[in-house]
Amino acid sequence: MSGTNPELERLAKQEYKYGFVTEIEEDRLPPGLTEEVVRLISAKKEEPEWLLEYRLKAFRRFREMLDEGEGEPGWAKVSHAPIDYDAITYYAAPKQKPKLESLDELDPELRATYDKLGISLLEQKRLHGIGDGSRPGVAVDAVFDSVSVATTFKAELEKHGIVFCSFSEAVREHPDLVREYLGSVVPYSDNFFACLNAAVFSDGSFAYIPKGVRCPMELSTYFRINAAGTGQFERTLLVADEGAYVSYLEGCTAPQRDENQLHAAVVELVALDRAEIKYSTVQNWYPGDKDGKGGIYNFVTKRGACRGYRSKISWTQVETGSAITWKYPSCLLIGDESVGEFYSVAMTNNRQQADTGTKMIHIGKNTKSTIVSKGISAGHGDQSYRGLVKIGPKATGARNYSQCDSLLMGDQCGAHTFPYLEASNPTAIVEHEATTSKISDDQLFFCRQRGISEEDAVSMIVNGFCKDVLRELPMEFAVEAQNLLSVSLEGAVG
Amino acid sequence: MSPALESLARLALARARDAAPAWIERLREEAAVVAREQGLPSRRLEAWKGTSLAKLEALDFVRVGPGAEPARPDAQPARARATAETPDDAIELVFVDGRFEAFASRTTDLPEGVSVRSLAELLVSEPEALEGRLGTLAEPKGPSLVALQTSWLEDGAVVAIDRDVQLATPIRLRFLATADAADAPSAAFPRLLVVAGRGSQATLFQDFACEGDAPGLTNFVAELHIEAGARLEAIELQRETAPRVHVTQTHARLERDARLDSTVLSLGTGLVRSELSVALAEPGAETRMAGFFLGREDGHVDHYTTVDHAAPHCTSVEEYRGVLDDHSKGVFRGRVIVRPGAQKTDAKQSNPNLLLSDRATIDTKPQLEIYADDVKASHGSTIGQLDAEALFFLRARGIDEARARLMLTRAFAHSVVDGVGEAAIREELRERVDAALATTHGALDAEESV
Repeated sequence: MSGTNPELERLAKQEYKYGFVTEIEEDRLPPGLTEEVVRLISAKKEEPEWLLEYRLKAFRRFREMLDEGEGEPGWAKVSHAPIDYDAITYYAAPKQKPKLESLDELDPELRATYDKLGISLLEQKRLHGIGDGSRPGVAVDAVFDSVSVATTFKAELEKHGIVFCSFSEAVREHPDLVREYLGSVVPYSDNFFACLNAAVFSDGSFAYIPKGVRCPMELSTYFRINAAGTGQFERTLLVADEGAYVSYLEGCTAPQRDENQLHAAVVELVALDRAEIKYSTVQNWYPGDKDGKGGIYNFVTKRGACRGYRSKISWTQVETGSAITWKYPSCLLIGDESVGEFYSVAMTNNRQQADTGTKMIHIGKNTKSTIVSKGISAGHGDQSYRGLVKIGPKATGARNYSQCDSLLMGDQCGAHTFPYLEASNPTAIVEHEATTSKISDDQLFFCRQRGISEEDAVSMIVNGFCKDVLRELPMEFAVEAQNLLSVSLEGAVG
Repeated sequence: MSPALESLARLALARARDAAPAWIERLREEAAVVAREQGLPSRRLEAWKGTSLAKLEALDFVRVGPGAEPARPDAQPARARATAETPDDAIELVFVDGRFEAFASRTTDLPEGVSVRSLAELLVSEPEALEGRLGTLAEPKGPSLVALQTSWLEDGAVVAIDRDVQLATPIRLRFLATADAADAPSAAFPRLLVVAGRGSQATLFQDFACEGDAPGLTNFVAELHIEAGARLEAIELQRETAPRVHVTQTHARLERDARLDSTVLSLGTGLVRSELSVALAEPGAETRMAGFFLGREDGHVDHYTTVDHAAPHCTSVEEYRGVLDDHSKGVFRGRVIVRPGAQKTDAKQSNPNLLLSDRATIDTKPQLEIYADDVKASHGSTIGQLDAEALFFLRARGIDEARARLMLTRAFAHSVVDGVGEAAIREELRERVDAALATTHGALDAEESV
């Protein structure tokens, strides 16, 4: 497509409204992955010796994997040109004053970027509830390329003893906590991309909810890739101590570019006795254009450990962006009677590919897990649900229920299901069901007959199809997710 | 190279040449190259994730095919036993260590339009009848043992049913593996080629057994060409015992409105890898794939099935049931592929499993790969125990627990056997399943209490 018709071009660009680039002075390292780069990143962040050691261990393992040709895992049902890991810039950060005294000192250019994305970094501007003003807002940690630029509501959270800050800050202020939990859920050698992340991770969010505290507001991180030729390698670590509760939201966007950019993040969650973590993601990285040019490679390792008795981790994700998604938020159900949940909506349109799902590893007694996955494939989109349910020999009374439904729109797309069920305990009950279907003519006819346009009807039906998942999202996100699904589907019908 | 492949390569050098035509020789040689280059599939391959062939790799084979006659004083009666249950009017071919045994077989008085011959004989006398059929469905590439088998392509059965012939008598193929006095590892590479002509109908029963406790390998490849409107019922019973390794690869291709009813039973105690791949190549083709596997002792049973919906309006119904006892491991992989354009596909798959012991493991992976939008596809997989309410119902009627469990486990297995159309074979299978289940955990107590 040459794009000679301006009207067409405008329409094509409309599809992804977060595709703008922020002009900002960047401090960046030259591209390439060497020991020096790893040391430089560590030095820039003024990290302690042990963290540098950790990075270097990961770096050596990563090099080893590259040299031995192990490379990216080959089992995922996605295809892309080989990634040149030496062409990526591993650190890019907006230039700003080294230490901000208050949020008002933030570069106006950056603030404008987040305003444009609908994320206000000024606390007073946030919605303070509806009507009576009693409903607290959302605390945001904003990550721009390789660094966290702002964290809101920190003072408010500190009153409850909650630590919520950027990862770099956590390393400085709470080294003991970070050291105890970093890599304890996703070890650096876990997989190719987790290993890369462990070597070069630049920033991310850290949260610690102390014993018995119910976090009074939603915590949120907003990720933005801006610079060209970079990758984003952030790391998130959430620890919920005994009896704590936290709901955490994650959102992400990136500019529209013709090149593919790599996003290889690691998220680790730890839930101790009776703690509960609810982790919601609305992933809207740039998906590439309709011919599959450009877009983010989203290769992410997310894992939560339910270490404590009756602990609970719940993942909810709405995946509409990225050229390629490779993501399996998982739960290690170690504590007795712990609970893992996974709710997912994945939407692929045009040339997008997604291989996503979850792993539920039942180790403790009477552990329970629920998996609800809804996949929607349109255009030339190709997507797979890949999930593992593993019942260990000691997981007496373990229970799993999985349901994977796929909706196909158009005859050029693909939908696949690869559930792995492994049980080594005779008292386990594991159920897996999957269906694949398309929007029936009857449903469409019913809506059309009532004066609803075809596009609206499809959007309604799709939202209904995803309802089981969308209702798990916090309110603000649920609205955004519904809108995203409609935007992603534009032009998929008819 | 592993000791197994090394010893087989050594044996291959020493093997006697047959007078097969050049194209067969080329097929063997090309397969031998692939087999050597690939080696035995490792667990790193997605298709072999659940199964390790380490046991096979370690074998140092001393012979392929039957040993010097008689291998063992009791070998002769064993062969007779293999055929003892067969009714007099049956069509039966017996293969010992992969080689056709004419004296034990009954292939006379075949109805008109039915040909049941040994492959070794056809390779020499009428190789042109095999061209375009042999080696066309089971290709010696990809992560399987097809290449190894093809490099040893020598003997087996060739079944051809002419157009519109309805064969009432089932064709029985008995494959027996023998043991040497020293229990040295031996390998057998039997092959099966079936051409079911347009509108024909036939039933095929393949029975794999072994004598003694010798380690060894049975590596079997079957190619089933089912032409338009033909119906084939294929029943496969595997009852080889540990430490023997049993690998089968069946590839079927169905033309317009053809039908394949497949029933696979794995009752042996060794390492089993059973691959079944059905291509629904033309509109209206239909297949029913049923399977039952029982894992006992430290047995390992791996069923890898593929249904390829390559044309519109095809139907597949698949149900594999597993019962795992003792230290055994069961693996099930069920692939359903719906190709672009295969609209109005109806594909159902289910895999319920019962774990009887706390050391048994099941690893199941039903998978759907769908590239067409107007399809109905579903799969379900469960792992669990016997229904508590059903148990209570039986206990309330004065049946003790062990007995009740055995009854329910039998019922679970019989639902697969009951789908077999041929009554005599169904009865034989029922007895074999019951006998095998009677040795499982809990069932032994039940027998005592009767």
